[in-house]
Amino acid sequence: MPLDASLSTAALLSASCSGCHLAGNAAIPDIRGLSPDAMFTALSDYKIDTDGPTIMHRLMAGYSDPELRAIADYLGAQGE
Amino acid sequence: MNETPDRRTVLAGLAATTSLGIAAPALAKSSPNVVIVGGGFGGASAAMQFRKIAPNIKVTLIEPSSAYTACPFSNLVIGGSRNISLQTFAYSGLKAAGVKLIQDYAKQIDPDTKTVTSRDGISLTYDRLILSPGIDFIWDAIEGFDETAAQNMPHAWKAGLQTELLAQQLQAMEDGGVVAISVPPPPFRCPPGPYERASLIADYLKRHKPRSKLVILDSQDRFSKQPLFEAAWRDLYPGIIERMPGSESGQVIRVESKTRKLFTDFDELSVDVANVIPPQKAGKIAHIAAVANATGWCPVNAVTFESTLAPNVHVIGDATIASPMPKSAFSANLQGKICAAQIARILAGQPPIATTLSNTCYSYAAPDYAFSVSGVYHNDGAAFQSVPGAGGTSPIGAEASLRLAEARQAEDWFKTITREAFG
Repeated sequence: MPLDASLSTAALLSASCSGCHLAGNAAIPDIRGLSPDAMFTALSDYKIDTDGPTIMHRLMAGYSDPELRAIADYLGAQGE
Repeated sequence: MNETPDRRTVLAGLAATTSLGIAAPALAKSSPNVVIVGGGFGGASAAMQFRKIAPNIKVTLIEPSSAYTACPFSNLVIGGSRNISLQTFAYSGLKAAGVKLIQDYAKQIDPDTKTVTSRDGISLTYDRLILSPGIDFIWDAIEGFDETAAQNMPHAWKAGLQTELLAQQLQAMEDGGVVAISVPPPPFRCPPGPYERASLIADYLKRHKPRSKLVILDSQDRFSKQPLFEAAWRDLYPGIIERMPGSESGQVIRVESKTRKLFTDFDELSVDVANVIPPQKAGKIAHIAAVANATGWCPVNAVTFESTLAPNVHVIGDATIASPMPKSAFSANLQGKICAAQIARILAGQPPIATTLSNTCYSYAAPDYAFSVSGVYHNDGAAFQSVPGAGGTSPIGAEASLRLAEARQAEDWFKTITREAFG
């Protein structure tokens, strides 16, 4: 039985994101419509900036680059 | 059973030719049954997630209440800056998404026949069961504190009438009164919650009853986001909040509810409003199902959330032993989503997969002043492990603009997580 993408490694990694990010919100950015590359860059920028003050800085510090790539590809593809 | 004879024949044939130790395709029923007990953040999120990712799975949610009253943000209700109606979520969204709802108590669970029986005698069979029972109180832990006493000394640690009761008692108190919050030993639901509550009650007192005081009688020495809370208390509420830590006999061991007296090892304190948060354990059905151990909480496989004490029974949310993941709404929501995906994989004959999880908890020190703690966790070992170098709290000593920004982010988070859980 072929598995749906929603049961993939990338989907499980991305499950955290939808707890905060919702279309139409303003204080927490709406992440729909970002391309996979734009999303990977945004997530990586948080990770690199180790002194950043936001929750995303503290969270992204815990993810490997391949994990960020998988999340960006999965969520970015949904936004297209 | 909804399987057609044709499908059974096909599956039997596949099973007969499987010889490489691959997960047996015979397990892959065309429309398996998942039963979920408990419609809080964990159970509701899991139910919704199944509808999104595995429409073939039939999902039944047993929940006795007709609507859910959310604990996050309920301290704002107690502090008088938020209406309780904003905390209440009907289950109509779950129904519209295709979740079968049974408004009843789960009374009995038989793991051999994989059957849940409700108080009204409804019997449901499951391929996989998810328990999301939240917490129960250990009523006999503080002498004199039982359900009747909680009418005069509200716990307000399950949101709803108790929340409103505590808010009303604060409103009825005269200026110059003393409010006490009794904090239990860990683990308890929402580790920063008592201190957020202290902050928002102090905010109310400062604005409406400025001669009043707040005493925290604490079983703990250290607490969640402590430097952030203590800095906020110095800045915002000087002279209002006093805290007795556990090492200075802060733990309440006895109460007299009628006279609102609290007793520690060395002191007795008569107060005007007493918020007694009792020690906690996993919700009742976890004990009936024998998935809680001697600690009162439920050990689980960190990848699948399957109970280590009962096969095919998964436990999520506050009831679990998932430390360092805290007992938070964010954790329950994420655990619900992950558990649903792992069960969908298992029921499709696929192995579960380890992943990386996270948590975020916002706390208010005042309605326009919030901060957060977050964490990232791996579950590829025997238990959850914090990822080193990740997570932590908002910066200490940050400008008011960051506290305001996080207060607004918290509002977005609440909107998002309740939408995801309840539709």
